[in-house]
Amino acid sequence: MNAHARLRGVTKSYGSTVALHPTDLDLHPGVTGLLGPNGAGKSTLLRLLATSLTPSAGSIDVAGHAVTGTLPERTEARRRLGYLPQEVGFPRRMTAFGFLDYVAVLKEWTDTDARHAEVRRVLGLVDLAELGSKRISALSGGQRRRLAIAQALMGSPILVVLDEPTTGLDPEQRASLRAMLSEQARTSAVLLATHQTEDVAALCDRVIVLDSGRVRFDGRVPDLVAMASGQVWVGPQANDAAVVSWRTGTGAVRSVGGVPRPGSHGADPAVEDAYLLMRATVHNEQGVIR
Amino acid sequence: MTSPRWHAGPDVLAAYAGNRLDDVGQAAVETHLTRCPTCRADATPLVPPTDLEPVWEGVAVAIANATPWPLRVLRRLGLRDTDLVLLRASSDLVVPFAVALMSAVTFTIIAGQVSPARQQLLYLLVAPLLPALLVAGAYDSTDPLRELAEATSLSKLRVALLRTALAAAGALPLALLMGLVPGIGLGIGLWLLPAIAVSVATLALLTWFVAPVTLAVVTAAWASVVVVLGATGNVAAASTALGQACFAAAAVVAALVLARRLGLGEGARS
Repeated sequence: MNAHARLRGVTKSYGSTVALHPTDLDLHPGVTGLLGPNGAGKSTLLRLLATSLTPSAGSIDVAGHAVTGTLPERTEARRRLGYLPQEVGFPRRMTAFGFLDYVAVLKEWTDTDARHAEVRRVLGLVDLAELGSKRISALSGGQRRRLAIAQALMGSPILVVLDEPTTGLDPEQRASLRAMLSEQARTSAVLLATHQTEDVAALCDRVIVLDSGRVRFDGRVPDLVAMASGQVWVGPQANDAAVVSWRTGTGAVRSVGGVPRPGSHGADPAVEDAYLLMRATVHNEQGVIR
Repeated sequence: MTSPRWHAGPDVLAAYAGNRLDDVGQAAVETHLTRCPTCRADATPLVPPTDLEPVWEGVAVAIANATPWPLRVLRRLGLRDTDLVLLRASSDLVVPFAVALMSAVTFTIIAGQVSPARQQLLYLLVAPLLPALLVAGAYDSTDPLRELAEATSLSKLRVALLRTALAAAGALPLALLMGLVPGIGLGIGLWLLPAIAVSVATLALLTWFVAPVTLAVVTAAWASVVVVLGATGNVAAASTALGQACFAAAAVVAALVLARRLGLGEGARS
């Protein structure tokens, strides 16, 4: 099956700083989570896919159209793309409907009736159908975030690139967003960068861990979790040389990595545990900590 | 008004509410309902109340997005709905629009200070381009939606040209007002006319040709005008009333051609 998006040897440098080392990726229908610390290169990767950055080397194509090719090819790629930047600075004078109408025009929806129907559809998708006439300045932070997500889903793009979509959403809205994205992912490749490991666990078929501009893991979520198997402990005291430990609400201490103290017992690992272990491994390799 | 002596039965009202009568039947019951409070009361619970919500929301959206009068005028002149949305959004982006407007006015003040004697051929060559660059720069540096807009497929050239025409047209009355100030002179606003004429002409040509060809044609045409003026020793003529009237006429002709072309319609995505 042809990938909806394909990266081959893609790198991005800013002067002497390498934000993304040579990267190969294929994105198929489904939800892929992109995990990594701040500065890992997540937003750079997303912006490269969203055509708002040009790679220093390598090639990117979306549905067979070369983002790194001619302007007509890039335009074809953009017609198949939905993008949510990390921060959207809304023009506050616009209404929610007016904002989406504007983005729809930028996405070449020229037929007025079809465009307005699509705007109403995506407003409904994010539960803002009754707030179309509200000025953006009157919307809450969560409502604005949902509005930003709505524009990315307009036109049912085959590649949806979302930079931290759940920021500012309450648990109910996050659950609703997960349902919406999993539905979208039946036909689209959805790539979302997040710091919320529970979103990855709940939603993603695949997870990519990026650190210092390099892909450290690319595989199924259960495979990432399995890497922490036998390395998560709960006991009265923190493990010796634990990567991280914290006292839970029950009073017991949960430790990831390290040597367990007497009285500790093994616990089921979560995505977060595996991610923290991987980060520690990377830092040990690089000599950053310990 | 007196109530009718007869009433529609529950079956008829249910069929009416379900839109199952033929056109004549629907119209007859509707007419009856306007005069009969009893049947109206019986029919009300048969119509799902939520059906009205999208209608009211549509009305609220239409009111909230009412088109300002200058854009209504442009619509009457034939400007396409999508261009109206772009123009409206461009002016709703308050900071970029204000910076673009002030840049255009500042340009005219500087241009107005260049006397014909000192006017250089090169300056005349880039005169229509400068406002376009200033407006594009204003939006590029201050548009809060720049990153989001970059990833969309609509021609960036088209958006930039529309914004240039909008800012230049908006700056023109401001510049003319400033021209009333003693020592500045009414002529300062006139330097915006070549920018408006060239922007609108480029938009019109874009309906025939792809962007590179269009830009080549426009550049060649403007360069020819400048070369002819230079060769005949009439560089200063561009800033005379007659010269600027020619630019205004060119802008009007280009706008008419553009309206005519857009009226023919382009491929719609639906």
